[in-house]
Order: sequence, then C-alpha cells, then structure tokens
Amino acid sequence: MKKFTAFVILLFLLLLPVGHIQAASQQAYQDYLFQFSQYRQKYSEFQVAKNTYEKFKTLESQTQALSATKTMLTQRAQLLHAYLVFLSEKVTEEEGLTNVNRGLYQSLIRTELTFLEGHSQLIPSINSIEDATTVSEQLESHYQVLQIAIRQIVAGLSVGRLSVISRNFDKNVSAAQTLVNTSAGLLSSEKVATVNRWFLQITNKKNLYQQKVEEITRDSTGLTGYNVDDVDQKFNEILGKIGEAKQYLSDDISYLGEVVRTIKYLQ
Amino acid sequence: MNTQPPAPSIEPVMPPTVQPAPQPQAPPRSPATIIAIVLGVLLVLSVIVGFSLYRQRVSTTVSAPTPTPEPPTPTPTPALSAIAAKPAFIQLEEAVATLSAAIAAYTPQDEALTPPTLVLPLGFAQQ
Repeated sequence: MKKFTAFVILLFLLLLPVGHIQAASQQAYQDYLFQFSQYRQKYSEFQVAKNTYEKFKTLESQTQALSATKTMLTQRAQLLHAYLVFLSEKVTEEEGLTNVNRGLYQSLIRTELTFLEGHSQLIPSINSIEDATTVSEQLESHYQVLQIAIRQIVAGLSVGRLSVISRNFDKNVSAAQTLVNTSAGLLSSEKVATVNRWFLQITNKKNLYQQKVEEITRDSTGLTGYNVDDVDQKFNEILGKIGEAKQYLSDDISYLGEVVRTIKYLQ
Repeated sequence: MNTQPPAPSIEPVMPPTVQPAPQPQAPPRSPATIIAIVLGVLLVLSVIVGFSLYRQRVSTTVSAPTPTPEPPTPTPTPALSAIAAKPAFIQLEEAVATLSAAIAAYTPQDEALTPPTLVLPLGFAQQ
C-alpha cells in the first residue's frame, strides 16, 4: 500500500510540470483577454473625455481628458505587455521550435517587454496634453518594430506546429521502410516495385516541403515594411507559404497511406 | 285683315309593324324519340371520357417505368497479406491515420495569437 501511495505521488510530481506549462499558457491568454477588455473600456472613456475637452475647452474638461489619457496609455501598455507574456508562454510550450529559434524569440520578447516597461514609467510624469502626445508618439515610433517582432514569432510558432507533424511523419516513413525491408519475402516483386515508387514520391515531396520551410524562415527573418500595413501584407504572404508547406506534407502523408494500403492486401 | 288659316296638324305616321311570318309548327316529338336522343348524347359522352382515361393511363405507364430493385451485391473483401497481421504494421496504420487527422486539423494561423489592433495617435487637435 505504501509503495502504491509513493508511486501515485511520484506520478503526480512527474506530471505536475506538464500541467503547469499548459496552465501557464492558458492563464496568460485569459489575462490577455481581460486586459483587452479593460483597454476597450478605457479607450472609450478617453475618447469621450477628449471630445468633451475639444468641445468646451474648460479647465475641468482638460483635467478629465488628461486623466483619461494617462489611464488609457497605461492600459495600452499593459495590454501589449499581457500579449507578449502570452506569446512568451506559447514559445516555451511549442515543441516544434528548435532551441536556437526558441532562444531568438524569447530574446525578441524580452527586448519588447523592456521597451514597454520604460514606456510605462514615463506615463505617471505626464502633466499636460502635449506631454501625453509626446509619450504616445514614443510608442507609435516603435510600434512597427514591435509588430515585426510579433509577426516573426507568430510565423515561427506556426512553422513549429507543422514541424511536429513533419517529424512524426519522418519517423513513420522510416518505420514503413524497415517493415518493407524486413518483410520483403512476403511481398511480390510487383508490390515491392510499387512501394518503392511511393517511397520515391515521398522523398521528392518532402524535399519540396523542406525548401518551402526554408523559404518561409528566410522571409520571416528578413521581414520588414514601409509601415504596419505593409508588414501585415508581407506576413499574410508568409502565411500563404505556410499553407503551401502544409499541402506538401499533406500529400506526403497520403502517399504513406498508399504504401500502407499496398502492403496490406495480397492483390 | 288677313287671318292665317291654322296650320294643318300633322298626324304622326306609325311605321307599319312587320308581322312575323307564321312559323310552320314542328310536329310534336314522341317520348321514344326524346329518350333515344338523350341516350345517344350519353353514349357519345361516355365514349369521349373513356377514351381520355385510357390515354392518360397508357401515357403514365410509358413515361415512368419503375425498375425492379435488385439486392445489392456485397463488395468482395480483398485478402489480407501476411504483413497486415504484424504489430509493426498495425502500429504504422494507426500512426498514418493520426497524422492524416493532425494535418487536416492544422491551420497556418492560430487565431488566439492574432496581435491586438490599436489606434495609436491620440488625435488631440493642435493647440
């Protein structure tokens, strides 16, 4: 009984980190959604206060507009912070990332978090609408760099998810080749020839997949743009290429299915 | 003093009414003739109705022939090879099914990762 209890405790302790990682990502996502909802509310209040101030130009409306602007700026920085933390958790969780890419993405996130912390520290010292505009412009001028970093990481995570499937696929192709080689005596020469043709198709398609992934990595690493919209357009092109890579892998998996069907039946 | 004689009164002349020529009186029909006419009309009507019903039935039968359903023949199951019983093959077959499901479920963009869209400029009018 004692041994069983010890085994259960050990199993719980072993599974705890996995559960913790999953919970960390989900908790970060929930926090991001909460901060987004808060931001929408604060932005709406800011707009009302700004419009009132611009309409009446009274001292009271100016004070209220300044207060609402500072609150909104603080919440905006918190929202971006929460999003970056969520992204960081996803990078930690994603099994398909190489250690090099994981380190690179975490470094990008740390840089952006440092910028946001510096930006947030300026907000309490805002004393006028002009100050608020200046502080806001600091984020505006950096926003494109932030957007590029975010899109590089998101593209990397998408390729990472595809890499997990690709690695499993490679393992199973090797298993299928071993199975055919060790069971050659059980297959007719026609069957062996057919299976080998499928393996050749698999290799060719896998090369196309690999070339596409390399192209995506090049595009993502060198992602730039004249403005945020331009960055967005180039990011969508990268997503299109990820879709093409997915199609190559999908074709390859169907070819492996053909190998399985060929060796399964006598005729 | 001349006195005018009174104008003679003109009597309205009625047009002469034309008296219709006396029709020759048809000889009265006997009850047997009337019955014969009625029966004749009924006979003609029944022939017309019967013919149209017959044509309708014939045309329906020709236009929609219903095929006799045949019992479906079961597809013969091809014989399995000796490899199909190996645990390595069963494992491989399951793995391919899992891979197919995983690639079908894959989408290039995780919607949760879409970055927030922000309107950055504060938009205060120039002082």
